[in-house]
Amino acid sequence: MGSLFQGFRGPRLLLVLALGFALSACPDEEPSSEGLVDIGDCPDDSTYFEHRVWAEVLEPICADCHNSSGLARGTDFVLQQGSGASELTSNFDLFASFALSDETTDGLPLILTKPTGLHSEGHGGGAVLGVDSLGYEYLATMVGRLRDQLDDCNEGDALKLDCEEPADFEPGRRLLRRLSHDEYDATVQVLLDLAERPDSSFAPDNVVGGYDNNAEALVVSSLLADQYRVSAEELAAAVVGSALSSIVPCSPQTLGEGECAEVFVREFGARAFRRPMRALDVDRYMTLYSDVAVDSGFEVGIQWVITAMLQSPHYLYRSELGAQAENGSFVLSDWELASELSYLLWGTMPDDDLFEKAAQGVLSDESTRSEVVADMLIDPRAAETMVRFSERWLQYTRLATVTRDAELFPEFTDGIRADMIGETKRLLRDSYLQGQTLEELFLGESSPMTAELAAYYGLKTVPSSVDADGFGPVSLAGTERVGFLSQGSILTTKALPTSSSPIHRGLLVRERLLCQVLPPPPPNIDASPPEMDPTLSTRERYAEHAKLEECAACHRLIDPVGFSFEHFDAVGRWRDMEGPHEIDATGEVVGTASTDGTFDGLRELSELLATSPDVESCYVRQWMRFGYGVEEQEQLRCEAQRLSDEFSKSGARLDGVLPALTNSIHFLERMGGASEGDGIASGPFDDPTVPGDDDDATGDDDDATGDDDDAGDDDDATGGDVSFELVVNDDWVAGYCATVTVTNIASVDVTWTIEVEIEGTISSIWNAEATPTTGDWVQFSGVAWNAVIPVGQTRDFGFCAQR
Amino acid sequence: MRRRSFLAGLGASLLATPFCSLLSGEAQAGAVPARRLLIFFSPNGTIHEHWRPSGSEEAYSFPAGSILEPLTHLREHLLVLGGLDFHNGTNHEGGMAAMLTNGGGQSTPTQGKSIDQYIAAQLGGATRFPSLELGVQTSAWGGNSQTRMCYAGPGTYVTPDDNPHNVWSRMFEGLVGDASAAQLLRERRVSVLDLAREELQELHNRVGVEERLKLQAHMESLFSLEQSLGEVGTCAVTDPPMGAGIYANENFPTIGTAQMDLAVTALACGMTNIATVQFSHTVGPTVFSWLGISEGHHSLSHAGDTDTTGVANFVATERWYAEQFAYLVEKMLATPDPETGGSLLDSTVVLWAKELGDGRLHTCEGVPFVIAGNGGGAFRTGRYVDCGGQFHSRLLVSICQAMGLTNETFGDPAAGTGGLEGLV
Repeated sequence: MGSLFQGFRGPRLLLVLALGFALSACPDEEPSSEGLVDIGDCPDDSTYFEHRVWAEVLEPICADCHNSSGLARGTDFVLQQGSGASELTSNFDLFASFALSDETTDGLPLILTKPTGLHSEGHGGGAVLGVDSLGYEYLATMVGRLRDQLDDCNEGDALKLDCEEPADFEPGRRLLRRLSHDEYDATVQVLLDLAERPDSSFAPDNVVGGYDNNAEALVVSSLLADQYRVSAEELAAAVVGSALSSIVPCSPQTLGEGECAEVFVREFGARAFRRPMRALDVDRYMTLYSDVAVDSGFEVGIQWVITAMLQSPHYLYRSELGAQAENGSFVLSDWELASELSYLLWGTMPDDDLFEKAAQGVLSDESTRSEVVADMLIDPRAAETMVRFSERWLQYTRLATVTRDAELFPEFTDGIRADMIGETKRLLRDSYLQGQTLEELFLGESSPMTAELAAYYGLKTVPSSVDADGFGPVSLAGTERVGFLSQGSILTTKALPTSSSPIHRGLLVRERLLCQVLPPPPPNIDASPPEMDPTLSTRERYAEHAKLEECAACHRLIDPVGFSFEHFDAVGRWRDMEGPHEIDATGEVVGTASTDGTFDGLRELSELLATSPDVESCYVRQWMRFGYGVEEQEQLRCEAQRLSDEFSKSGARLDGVLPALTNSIHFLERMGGASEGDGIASGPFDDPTVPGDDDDATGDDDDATGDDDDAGDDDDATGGDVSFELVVNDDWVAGYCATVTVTNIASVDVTWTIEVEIEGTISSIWNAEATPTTGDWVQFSGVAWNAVIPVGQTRDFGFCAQR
Repeated sequence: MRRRSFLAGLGASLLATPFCSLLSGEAQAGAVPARRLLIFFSPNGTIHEHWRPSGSEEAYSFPAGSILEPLTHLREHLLVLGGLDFHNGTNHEGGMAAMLTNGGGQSTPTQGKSIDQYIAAQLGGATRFPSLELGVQTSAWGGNSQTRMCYAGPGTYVTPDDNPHNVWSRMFEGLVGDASAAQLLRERRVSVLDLAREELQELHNRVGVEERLKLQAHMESLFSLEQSLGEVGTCAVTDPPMGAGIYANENFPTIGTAQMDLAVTALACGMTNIATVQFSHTVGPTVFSWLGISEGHHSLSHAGDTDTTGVANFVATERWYAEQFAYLVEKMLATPDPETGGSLLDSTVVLWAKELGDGRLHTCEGVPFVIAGNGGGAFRTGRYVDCGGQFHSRLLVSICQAMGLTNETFGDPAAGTGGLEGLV
């Protein structure tokens, strides 16, 4: 491809980083540096393979499933069991074919991305090797040797995923983040100066990893577009009907209607779009205003301006696009920083102060930003952000809709449900406000309850002083309860209609507290839960169940942890006995990097978790998912590690993560996406002095794209009614992206179709539909709004393809 | 390399059955394409021995106490399909994703769309709503691979509307009030959408591929929204249904009825030709408390054969779904087709789809499907057909062809070409 900006790091694929570090089907056999066979400093490939790769990794970790009769027998990676010469040769060849394969993710072959869970399609057995493990180092070294990047002494460019160089600390991708439904409601409340926060009740959004604000998953579906329309119309009508003077900063009588409308568009628009209005923006909305006002007057004109702004992409998406700097990265503007700060810390749009600071251009200065952040963190809205995060992290608000058998549990009333949710929210809010640590969250000896909830729990004390809603602190000292894991909301949400559920409770610990992602049960196994059998305790029923070999690999990680909760029933009450059965709440945490250990009951499990570096690191990663709206990306890997290290070093205070997130490189800068080379039009939207141009800004980068032949030999063709031009915008080894401009050269409007010979397989396409015809030929036709091209006009579409 | 495993007793009946043939030659000759598609979904697989009809292909019946028994009076209108396997997709999430798509990516002829979206795209244009997706408590967990079955493209879910009152508003809003005011309102709404489109196009030019796809989805949504603001036709306004408590377990039956009623109304007066009614979702925890059952549906779907109470309760819940499907089919039968004067059912393909075969095994083999209505004469109903392990992609192809399309594959072409074997 053509010239690159200096320092541009080239297109890259995003990886989802599954965080099951050191989670292994056989974690006890994780390779250690002790007891290794001495192979000298410069062994040959076969020696290195036999004593490091095979003996330390493949045999103990992979071959259990990846053998001719194992669970992974259907994959392409089937190892011969045994350490004889013929097995070793066969396995070496198999390994080499994967090491040298072109099938890579971010330059890494499957043999490295699968076991670490870095592959975009995951790994059937979960993540079984940490990238910082010795086992991974052996695999990566072997790959480097086979690719002639390393010599026999392992000198050369190793393939590694460590975080040592400053360049390893990369930000994520530049994004448009659609407002989450919470953010929408909070934003209109501020924007329209409403006394109450509206409840838009939009159709629930896509949820990724438990979070409903993932930037990639949040799109505007046709249902949501309609709901946005209804909401915008209702809100605008209500505001104009009741409180117009509070949001229109001028008098149409004094200033003149048109002029006052323009002042409104400029000022209200700047708040709605969270950046100054450009002349182009003002023109667009003034045109709308005039069209309406000419028939229906000033107020209705303003009403439609508001209606339109609330449906504008500039309102609905938070821009985290930035402007391209000389080193190729995209630097976020002060206006973008103001929104990032405000939505991250407060969950809503910036206030006047923050806008003022953005206008002064001081938010990109680290020390000023730190002062601003410190002020924002003591605002009650920051504590509410902690609560919103916790609802998604721990999923306890699902308690509102889970079903319990009313005959078995008549005491579990709607009032108790509400009190349980209130208890957890208050605990998280108070812990945050009091600067408590993660350890205190696990081991706290006091919890905010109503008198009814305390009685329901069977506690002998009641709160001595209560707030307006009836909640007050109740001491847990000397009781069976401790910390947030013993709260009814969590225990009950993670249970079944008629019984406790060790599996759900165990998974909560694995997935939400340790960030380990476990695969679903494999198909063709009877995954029936143990039957109700009054002669067995819950633990006995589940233990029987997990005896099946295929099940045991995962369930040995889940069930014992879940058993620690067995003293708490399906509705969060303590029980000494389960009916006639003794309760055994002992168990062991296995398969973690640094949390392994034995316990008896929830208090001891909580003690194991309370100071675990695994839990601390997971807590920070959960915040990154929530705060940045991204799943862990390969790009953000080192930044995540740095933030967790800092969090742990500073004592793991709950209020320590938010300020750290505002000083990360990701907060300030972004990388271009997979197809964004140089020449991307990144002119700021927020510079009012830029008049704004509406033409195709991607077309100004000709020397970077060139019109090479890579994507077919038919770049410029004429198809009778239309001509088209295909420009490859970006091109990397594994794929490329192209923009196609179709021009109507006929004397009548045409419904266009073109056929092009395409190299590779189309992986994404916009503004057109593609239908493969014969060979590599693909027929493109327009989508609803661009299928017909008026005389003399052009329409664009684009696609990316994998080679 | 696909493994087959059937519950005891199933294999024999499969082997004994000839090719599944959906159509008869006579029926095909006189067929006019069906104009509508209505998909009904219920989750968590089945238990084959309690689902399977007895008797021969044409003289079939539903054994007393079996899951499909509530459909007995509708036998002549049904084509009950056993023995269909998913080529792509296994387990809860995989089954949910493959059920209406048969997998496949952007580069396949159906571009990763689910059959409702594909047919809507091929036939759409004339109706206010290209398609209507109605849900019954589908979204309490948000949108994800468990809760969504309609796809606009690979990985792109189409969100169902779980709120009957909201659906009603979308359908009837423009019907109320005087015509010139409605016309003015429509014009203003369209200029708002035009403005948003102009802004989207500008943004589009300044971002990379990932964000462009997002903005294109937005653009498409605005297009369907504009279309839905069009002339509303001559529908009789029904009473507004409930809009509160849409995730309260006990409201499940009421919401289901309301959504089915709205779907039939929308089809009957030409607001759309494609509708889906999705009850819950895979792994759905619905508790059928109105049947006196206290375990969640997903838990019950895992009841092993020796757990007789659990199996009986699961069968009871599945029979309840059969009753809902019967209600829907009866309603389609009783509603006149405004164009032909015949029954709406005659010009519609109604499909009851599930995402799993045996829920206990988490497999997508022997996934049960029921077609109601002869698809404008395309399907010879009144039969139970065992498809003997053919891929269900062929069913999707057959439905497309019954609706006048000519595609020979659906989703991943590796599943094979053509409709269910033995046609014509």
